[in-house]
Parts: sequence; structure tokens; C-alpha cells
Amino acid sequence: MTEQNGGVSPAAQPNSESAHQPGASGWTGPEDQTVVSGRSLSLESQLELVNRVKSLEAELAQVTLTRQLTPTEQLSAEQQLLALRQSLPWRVGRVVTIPVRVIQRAIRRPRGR
Amino acid sequence: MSHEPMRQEPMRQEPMRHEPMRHEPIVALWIDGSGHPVPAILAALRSAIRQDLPFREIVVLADAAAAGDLGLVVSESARPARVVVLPVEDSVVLNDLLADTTATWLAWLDASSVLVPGALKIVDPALSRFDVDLFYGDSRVGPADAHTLVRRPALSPIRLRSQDYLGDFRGARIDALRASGGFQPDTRGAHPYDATLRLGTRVDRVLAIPEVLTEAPIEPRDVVRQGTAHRTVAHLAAAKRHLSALGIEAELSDDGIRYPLRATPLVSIIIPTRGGRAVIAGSERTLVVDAVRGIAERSTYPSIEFVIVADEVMPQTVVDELIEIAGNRVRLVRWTGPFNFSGKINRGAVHALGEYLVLLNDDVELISPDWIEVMLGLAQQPGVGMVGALLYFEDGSVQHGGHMYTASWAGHIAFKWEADHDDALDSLRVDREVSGVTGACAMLSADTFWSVGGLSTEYPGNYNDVDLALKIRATGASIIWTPHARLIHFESKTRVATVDTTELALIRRHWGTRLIADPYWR
Repeated sequence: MTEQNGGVSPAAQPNSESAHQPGASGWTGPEDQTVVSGRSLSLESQLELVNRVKSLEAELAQVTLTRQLTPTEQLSAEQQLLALRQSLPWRVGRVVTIPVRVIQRAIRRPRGR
Repeated sequence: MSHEPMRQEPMRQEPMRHEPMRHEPIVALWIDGSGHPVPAILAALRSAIRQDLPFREIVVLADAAAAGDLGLVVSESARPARVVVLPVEDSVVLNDLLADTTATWLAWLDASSVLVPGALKIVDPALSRFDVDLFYGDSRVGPADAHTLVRRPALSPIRLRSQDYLGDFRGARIDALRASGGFQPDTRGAHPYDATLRLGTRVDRVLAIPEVLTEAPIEPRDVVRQGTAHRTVAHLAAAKRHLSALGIEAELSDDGIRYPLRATPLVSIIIPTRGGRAVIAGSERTLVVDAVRGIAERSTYPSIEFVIVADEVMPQTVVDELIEIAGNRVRLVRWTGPFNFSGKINRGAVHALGEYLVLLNDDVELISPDWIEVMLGLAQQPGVGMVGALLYFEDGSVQHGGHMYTASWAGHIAFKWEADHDDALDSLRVDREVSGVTGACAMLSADTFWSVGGLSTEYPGNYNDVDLALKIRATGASIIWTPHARLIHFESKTRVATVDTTELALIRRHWGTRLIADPYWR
């Protein structure tokens, strides 16, 4: 049984905790910290806190678009958008929704007057 | 020796009347015909003349033998063009030409390729729109019925040091080129590369146009060479000069670049494990024991420690074996909670004493004895946040060639490729920027690890490495993958992916826009 990072591959699943081998007893050391000390937990909490801030910053960047795109990223995004609009599913969708869009427009027109 | 070029002056200066001019042409085109047969140069020249929009000027740099034929084409053309015969030492000539031009941009086309129809119509508006110093684009190579698309990555300065991946057509803003020193002596055959190294340092100043701009009707066997510039002595000299100007010590060879270590800081190898066993090559092994033994016995780097973060279920015999193998270089840390890879790595980092950390799975086996030196050399480069390695499956196929994040998904580059397979840019042969690397084997400084909050425990099994890579890149640092550090990762190729949907949703919520299109693997 391996102890592996999930990562992103198909082989990414960690083994279940039931991987405990029958008959094996827990290890006793020597070890760096037999019982996790308060200092260790405090440092791990520090990591958690910094990570939390980084996660919130990332989420904020998603909704506020504070992250400036480079010229290459802008062109790439525009090309993707163009490709999407030229794709068959998009065009079929546009055709299928014609009646709905016509009705919507008809409803809006009197309101706008 | 006279440096005065033979010049065939423009036959006609006026653009064709039937072409509406939206604005003054801003791009001068230089076609590099040196070393190319006359038909190739003629094809390149014709492709330039036939563009929908005019170039401000076209200059053909060619050997004397080609001058006559080229002059004929030029004289028949309605576009202004001239032929310059290059003497052996050409930088003075090129700088004279550079001083003379009134264009804003200088585009350089190697005569082994031709411009596709409409190429300038793509380039011109892009250059008018963005404030950048350098541009390049994609290309199509190979015979028309079986061509290969060469999609070039966004600016990759580390990759550029060992590979001129920009291809046969690129351009530089003329004032930036002049300010950077113009064309350097002793760089014949590598002038575009040399200029690119000087101008290609800031990602916001370089435009990779995601469109096919050139094509080269060549044999498939030459595709790789076409995708990247053939590395010559001049290329090596240019790279060496560039690194020297940056104050970076490096050893350059045809195999790539190695960065010698000025010091040997302690490297902590953090391995989460439960001391499990698996059948490998027909025999049952204890994975963490084999991994530690391989590294302890075969790694050439002298200053390492192993931080083993072990579940309580790990048998005592495994502990005994680890201590027998690595002695006081082993530090054992207990993990008592439910499985959380991120939590275990974080706990290991808390106990690690090293200036650099290696995150390592317990199911790996070393191939390159100097793997730490290679990764550390890269990790110590300015602006590099994390470094990953080339991982193989047990059967020799590729497991990891870097991460790619695209279409709201994350995956491994080159996954299951045969070991000798590569893409048109030889991407598995060079150090290069990637969006991320697998947490199964990654090196980063302890400072970087702590500054981004380590691995997020919100991702106990999957995407923790993706999140880590994106956090590091959000600081402006880059992630580098190297093929010169190689390991076997005993992951099964056939295991079915069962990604936790919660983790997938979370990574999309955190980094959605970063997962849409990968800048380095298109």
C-alpha cells in the first residue's frame, strides 16, 4: 500500500485508513515528537491561517478581477471565446433558443415604450 | 574587410493602390536567408509580399549567390523591398539597418518558413493594441496533408535559456531592441535568439499570439528541429552571455543547462507514509524503506535529512529498518488523525530543519543520483518558487511531465507517453516553466512553503499540489519542471480516477480562472 499524494492523476486516490496490516503493532519510536507538542500544533495552525488568507485572496481575485491579465492571456481568452462562439453546440443552442429570445424581445418592447 | 552591404534599393516605394491603408505600416520584415537555398528564400519573400497588409519594408538578408534571383522577385513586386548581401561579420550591417529603419517593429522571418496568408493581419492589430516589446506565434510544420501544429507556450525565461522555442517568426519593438544594444558581434546565426534573451524577461512585455503565423513544408522527421532553433555555438554563446549579464553561474552544454551550487544547504525530504508494502517487479517491498534506502545509498547530495511522517499503524520493524539505513538522518513524526496528505506534509515541514524541502511520496525509486543537485540548482534561481521532476511508471512510460490546467481540469503533461516520445517542441528534453508540478516529488524553499501557508488541509487527497502551485504562482514566482531529475513512481496506470467532487469544486472555486487555459501547455 502506498502513501501518496492525491495529485491530479487517475492514480490519485489515497489508500483508505483500513490499510493497517493485520497483526502489526503501532510503532513506539524513537521519534521527533512522541506526542505532538503545543509548539508544533501552533506552527501548523500558523500554516493553516496563512493558507486561509491565501485562499481568500484567490477567491477574491476570482470575483473582483483584480488580477490583471497579461497581453498573452488576454489574446488567449479572446481566442477561446471566439472558438466557443463558433462551436457547433453554441450555434445549435442559439438556433434552439430563437423562439425564446423572440418572445423575450416582444415582451420587453412594450415595457420599453 | 568592408562592412558595407551590397544593397538593392527598393524598386517601388508606393503601396498598391487598391489596398486600403488603415494606418501607416508599423512592421519592417527582415527575411533571414543565410544558409538557405534560393527557392526557400524566394518562397519566404513571396509569402511576405502577398500579405493582405503591407510591411513597412522588407529586407532580405542573403548570401551573394541568391542576390540576383531575389532582385528579380523584388523588381516584379509592387511592395517596397530590398536585398542585403551579408558579409561574414554581420552585426555592424544589421545595426546600420536597424538605425536606418523608420518602422516601429522589426519582424524576423527565417527563410525555412513562409508566412501564412493573413499573418500580418493578425500581427498588426495585436501590436497596435498591446504595449509589449516582443511577439511570436504558432506555426504549422510538415507536409500539407499531415502537418503538425506547433503551439508555443507563453514566455518561459528559464526554458529560453536552453531552448529557442519561439520559432522562425518573431518580432521586437525597435526602440527596445536599440536600447538593449541592438545586434551583438559573434552572434551570427543566433541574432533573433540573442535579442529574445535580452527582451524576453517580463511576461507582461511579451506577446505570444495564439494563432498560426507561419508554415514550413518539411519532412515530419524535421518537425522538432523546426519547432525550435537548432542549437548552435552562437546560441550557446548568446545564452552564456545572457546568464553572465544576469550574474548567474551555469554550465551550458548540448544537453541543457546545469546550475552549480554555491553552497550545500540542508534539504529535508518529507515522506508521509503508513509503512505499507506492495509488490514491485515480482517481489514484495516496504515502499518507504526502499525509497529511503535508494536515496540514502545513491543520492550524491551530501546534506539531507528524512522527515518521515508516519501513521500510528506503521510497524515498528519499518522504523527499525529506516534507522538502520539512514541513522541520525531520519526524523520520525507521528500522525494520529484521519488521512490528510496535506496535513502530514505540513507536520513534516514543522519538524524539518532544512532550508529546502522535498515533498516526496513513499512509492518512488531514484533514477538520477544527482536529482537533488539538479532541482536545487533550479530552485535557487531568482524568481523560481518550486521545481518538479520527470516521473516514470514502472514500465518506463511517463507519469509526470509537469502539470497542465485547462478546461477547468488539472492533469499530467505527457501522461503515459512512451519514454522516447516527445512533442514538436521537444518539451520533455528541457527545463521549462509549467503551471504546476506533482506533490509526489517537488522541491521548494522552506521560506516559500511557509509564506504561502503550506499545503491546504482542505484538500486531503487531491489537488493539494495544484493549490500549492497556484498559491506560489500568485506571488509572482514560477514553477519549473526538469527532465534532468528522474525517478520512478510506482503508481498504477490502470487505477480508476475517483476524484472527490468536494475537492474538485473547491479548487474551481479558488482558482477557476487559472484553470481555464494553460499558458505553458497549449
